[in-house]
Amino acid sequence: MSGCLLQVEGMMVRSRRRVLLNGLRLSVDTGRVTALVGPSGVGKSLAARCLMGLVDLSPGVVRGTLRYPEFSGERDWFELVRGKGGRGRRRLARLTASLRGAYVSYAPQGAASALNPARTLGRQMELAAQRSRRPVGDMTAHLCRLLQRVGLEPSVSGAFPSELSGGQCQRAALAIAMSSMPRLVIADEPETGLDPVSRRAVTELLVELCTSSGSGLLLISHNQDIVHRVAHHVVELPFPVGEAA
Amino acid sequence: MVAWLIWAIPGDPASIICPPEVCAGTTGLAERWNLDRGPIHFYLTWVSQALNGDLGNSWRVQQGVPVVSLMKLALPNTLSLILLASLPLMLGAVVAALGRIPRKLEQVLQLGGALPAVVLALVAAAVVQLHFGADMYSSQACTIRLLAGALVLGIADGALSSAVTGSRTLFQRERGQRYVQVARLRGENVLSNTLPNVAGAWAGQLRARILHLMSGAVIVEAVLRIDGLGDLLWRATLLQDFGIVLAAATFFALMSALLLLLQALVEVFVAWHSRRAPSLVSRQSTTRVAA
Amino acid sequence: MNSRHALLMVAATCTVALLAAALAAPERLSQGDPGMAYAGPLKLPPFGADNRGRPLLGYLLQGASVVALPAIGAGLLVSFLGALGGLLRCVANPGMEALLHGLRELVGALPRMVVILVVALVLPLDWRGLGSLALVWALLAAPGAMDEAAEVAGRLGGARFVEALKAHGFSHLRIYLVHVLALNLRPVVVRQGAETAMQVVFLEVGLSYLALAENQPSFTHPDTSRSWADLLYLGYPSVILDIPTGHALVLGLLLIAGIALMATTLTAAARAR
Repeated sequence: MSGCLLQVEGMMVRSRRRVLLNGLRLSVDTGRVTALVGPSGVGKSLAARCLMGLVDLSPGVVRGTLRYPEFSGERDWFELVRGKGGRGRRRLARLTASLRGAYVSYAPQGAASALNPARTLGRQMELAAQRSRRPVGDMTAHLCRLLQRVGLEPSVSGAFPSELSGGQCQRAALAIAMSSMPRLVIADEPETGLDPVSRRAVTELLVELCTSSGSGLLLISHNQDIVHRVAHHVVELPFPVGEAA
Repeated sequence: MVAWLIWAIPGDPASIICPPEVCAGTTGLAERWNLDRGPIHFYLTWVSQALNGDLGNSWRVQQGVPVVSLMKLALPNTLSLILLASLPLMLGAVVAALGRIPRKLEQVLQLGGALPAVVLALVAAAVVQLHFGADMYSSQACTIRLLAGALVLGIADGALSSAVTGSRTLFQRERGQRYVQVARLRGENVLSNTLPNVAGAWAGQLRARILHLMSGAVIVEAVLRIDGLGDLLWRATLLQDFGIVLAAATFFALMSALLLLLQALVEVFVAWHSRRAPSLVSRQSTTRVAA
Repeated sequence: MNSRHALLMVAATCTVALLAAALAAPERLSQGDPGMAYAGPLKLPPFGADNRGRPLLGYLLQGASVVALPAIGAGLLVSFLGALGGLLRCVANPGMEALLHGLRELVGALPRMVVILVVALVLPLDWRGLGSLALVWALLAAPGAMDEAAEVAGRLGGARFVEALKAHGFSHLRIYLVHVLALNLRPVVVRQGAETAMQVVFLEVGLSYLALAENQPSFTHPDTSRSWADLLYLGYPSVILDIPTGHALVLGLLLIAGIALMATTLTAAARAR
């Protein structure tokens, strides 16, 4: 179990009508990239949300285990929600709040709409960095360094998302995700909406950021080419087959 | 607006202010209110006198009594009424913004809000009258009437239900935005993300609700016999006492302007707060980067 | 019959009843029979009599004639202007949008009742009536309705939505009347219109009641006719004193509830799919 950041076994998620996700099994290790691939609509983003403790549908997670070995040892987080209804889901969200943003961070797809339009990029980075479990030292220097690493000028920190281009927004989203120096990054199709050159550059940048800082990366994508080039381990998510409601 | 209306309507301004059937001596009236030298002169004279604290005398509600004295007596009651009525309204709006109002309670509030102010005020007046009987105008009864008036004002004509539903809808819509969902995944506080974005609109909604209370104060004060500005305005309108109507309308307009100013201040503060980022270099270079 | 049809039926019944009552209203109340004073609904059907033995039916009909046309007219005007506001957003005219927004801010900053009273004061006596006050009320409500409808159209996509439908080959008329107005703006404009109509009725009842309490002529109708506020005024003493006019109060409250029902069902029917 040494170096293992995330471990999920046999996860099954369902709504009242149908099974949305069935039999997901994966693990992410320190400094390694695990890719979760599958066609659109298979439930990749849903899986990401559930792995971060946010199960927003009923009955939600009905089977499986979720462990963050480095963060909470052998504790099975899904124990809180399996068959526990809305109260269990709220409890899971509450208890995993300290985990999100600090131990595990999230890099979204379509970053232009995923950034707060009323906050400057610097403020969003600062808020993310404040959740760090490790001391960041001089905040300004830390944020400057991060911006430079993702290929943005430090001056961008005073800009609002609407003042940035799509590629700049995506890089900014990566910078925000890395601000808290997380142990694990879950990147949900970070290349979506970018041109082919930027797509490759952004994904490679993300992998470089994670591996160089010793973080694990769960890369969610449906782009097989990129995934097979950068991932150490690939998990394919098929369309769920399960019993009807 | 009043000045414009008086001159926009065909006819002699003095006769419009008080028709000859109601008031005798329109020539004297015209001289007294400077109506014989056009709207601009009338307006400027009235404003300069008002700035000097002279709003003229009442001539029909309480003959010869300065309007300022009547306003001074009425103002505290109206302000207390609006303040008391707006407290539960603000509380409801805050709880609804946090998404803590049960749907059923909201439906009950909507049902109560469908009642017109006059009906609820009548119920309140009946309760007070049944309880106090001949002591209707004792100081205790006056306090109870004020509290009952605030309750009626807060509930009737959808005041509370609109504040609750409006706030809930506004925040719910914002919480559904993608950036909030992503912020939640990053472990950030949902409210601190949504609040700056909806603060302006929310302040606008609450301003509209307080204006609504000011509007409703006229009926509530008149039915419950609360000696406030609304009641004064109503009696002055009935008796064609132009000076009081003009002064009361001006006060309500000033209150409205003050609320508008408060809303603008909220918006300016939010904009300043949003810009209060660790701008690592100056803004000038930011725009260059964006370009 | 689905729930929408049921709601529409209720709203239509209330509206038709209001209009029919207005049409059937007598010019003056009948002389009345002093022997029937304070008669209840059982003694003098359908609603009983007042303190002078005059049937309350006359009050109901005359009250309906006072409010029906101004309320419905004000409601239609607000709906029309609201629809216009929504459609203007779809033609993407920034100048017009700014004007509308400014108008809403300006008019929205006016306490409506204060404006109504000022207008009632300065209107010449022969212009006074619920019609002119309802028009002012509608004009005060219209910018808000236009702005709200414009916001709905904006969320729909505004001019981009229209362009997309044009690309599908729909005619201008069909896009604006069916896709924008009937399918998307309908709930907002109907609700705004219904609310305005209801508010005008409540305004009349409120102003007439207060005038009655001060023993002054009402701004909203001539002295010769009665309003629904007269029913409340007649019935209210029965709550405090031992005067048997409770049936008048009940009738007044039922009429107010009927108007609220009309507005609520119309709004719900417009929202239902």
